[in-house]
Amino acid sequence: MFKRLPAYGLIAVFAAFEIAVLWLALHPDVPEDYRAYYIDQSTTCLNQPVTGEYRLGQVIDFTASEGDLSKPFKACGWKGPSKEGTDAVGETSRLRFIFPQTAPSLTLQFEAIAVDHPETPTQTVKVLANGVPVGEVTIDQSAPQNFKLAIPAEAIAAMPGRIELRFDYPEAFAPPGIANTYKRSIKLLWITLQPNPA
Amino acid sequence: MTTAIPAPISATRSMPVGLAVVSIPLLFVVLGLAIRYAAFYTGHPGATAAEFAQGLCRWDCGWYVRIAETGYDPFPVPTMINAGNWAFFPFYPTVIGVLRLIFVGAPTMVIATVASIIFTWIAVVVAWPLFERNWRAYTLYAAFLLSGPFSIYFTTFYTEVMFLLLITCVFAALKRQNYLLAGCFAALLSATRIVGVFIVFAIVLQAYLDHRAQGGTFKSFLTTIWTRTDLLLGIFIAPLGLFIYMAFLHYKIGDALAFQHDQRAWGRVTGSPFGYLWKALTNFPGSGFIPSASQQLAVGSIAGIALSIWLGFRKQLPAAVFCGICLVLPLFAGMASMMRFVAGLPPLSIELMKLLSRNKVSTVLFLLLFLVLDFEFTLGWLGGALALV
Repeated sequence: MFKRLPAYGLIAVFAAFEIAVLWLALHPDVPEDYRAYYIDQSTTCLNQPVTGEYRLGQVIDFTASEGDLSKPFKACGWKGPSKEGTDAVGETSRLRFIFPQTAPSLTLQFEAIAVDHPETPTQTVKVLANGVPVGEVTIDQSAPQNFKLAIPAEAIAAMPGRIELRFDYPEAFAPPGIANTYKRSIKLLWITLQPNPA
Repeated sequence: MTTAIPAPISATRSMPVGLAVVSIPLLFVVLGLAIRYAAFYTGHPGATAAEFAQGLCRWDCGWYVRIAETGYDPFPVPTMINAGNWAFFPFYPTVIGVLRLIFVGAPTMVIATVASIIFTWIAVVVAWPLFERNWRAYTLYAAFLLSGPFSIYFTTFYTEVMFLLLITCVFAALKRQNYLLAGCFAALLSATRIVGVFIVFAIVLQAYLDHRAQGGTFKSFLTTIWTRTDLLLGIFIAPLGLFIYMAFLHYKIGDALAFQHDQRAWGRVTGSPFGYLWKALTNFPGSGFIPSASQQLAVGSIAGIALSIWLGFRKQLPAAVFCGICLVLPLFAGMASMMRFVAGLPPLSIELMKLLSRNKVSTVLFLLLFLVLDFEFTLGWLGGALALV
């Protein structure tokens, strides 16, 4: 029995280590974005630390014609660009705009087209700015369409010099067996935030 | 059900056994290299050795290269993608990372290719005791791994190389009833691929079967296991590789299960293995008679499961259980990489080689077929054949 004591001691150490690691596995210590995407799976959009550096009035190209000019703005939920635009992937996408100017009111303009899918001829897109609803648009597959939405004053006041745009796609689709992180809905061609004259 | 096992065939009268065991796979190392280089050369005339090594690095290989060169991603991932490299287990990339520190300046893929070939060669040699002196099966096995249709997995930078070697080491140790040594190899195995941790069931089962063979009962096994410190240590050491990796992930990004949670970024959806198999089998090609990639993967998976069941019939229950788990578990997430998973299970390929080498004619025919398929599958690999990914 006593000859085996060191072995039993080692077994106890290994067992304690393994139990401790299991405890750690059950108690992750992660940022909120990580938890939402990987653990709770409450979003398909994993927020990335893009700079979002922007000048009000600047038009951001989301096609591949001039390389990926949109990369600094794409916080999450985008794939591309291609010549036809940048695909939204998942159920939500986000764009970040951080600008030095001040503007009492802003207008969001963008051009988009719905992804070709016979069972879903149109895509509804809900737009929010800094968490405040901006509007809802319906996009079809026929040709790129332009949209113009006023950013509410309360959204601008909520985060001065910063607009976090969120696009929700309630009708996004994915083939069976493919996760909701790969759902498709629209392609974005360009976007701009225009300051309105005082 | 019983199957006649071919009578042991003597090696050669002039060559010592040890030398033959080492030399046969060495011959296929050279042959396989020549064949794969020839396949690569058809698309890249004049390619250098470094270009050849780099050219065969496809699909997941790039992830392993990055881990060997720069380690694991923090969170957020610096390249701002959702897929962190935490899903890829650390042992083999770490080995290559250490070799990079020794062979400073050499391209990672050259180091990894040479290391993979050497490790696979060792895996064949280590497997020799599992062949019961069946030289024909051993020769065919060496050809299968080093110059056969799936040799690409074992000669470029894929974790299958180390998985193959360590599984072989575990079963070779179990054959000698050395459970502690088996546990130590199992610990490395559990740090090589997630399913490696399930080898612990094979260790316990083999210990029980050995106990039964010595006249013990299930009850006496349960009562005496607490006094078997070699076996107990083996059991508790076996999952250490996985647990150390989990502890590292918690330290690095705060989530010990990051390797599992990361699967979301690849769009994997958990479903029924039967459902996935049926869907793949009925996914017919758009035109022509060549089965679709899904169908090829499904057939490969079913063949692997059938071989696992066959191992059970052959009274190799520990290997059957381990291989069954290694094949059924990934099927819950779909058909991806199933061909690689089947080919990378040595108990299955050893048993298959025993079946294929029942006589001299079949041995020669399959040997030639392996060499031809090595060329064809290398072309397929380079051409992006999805069934091989």
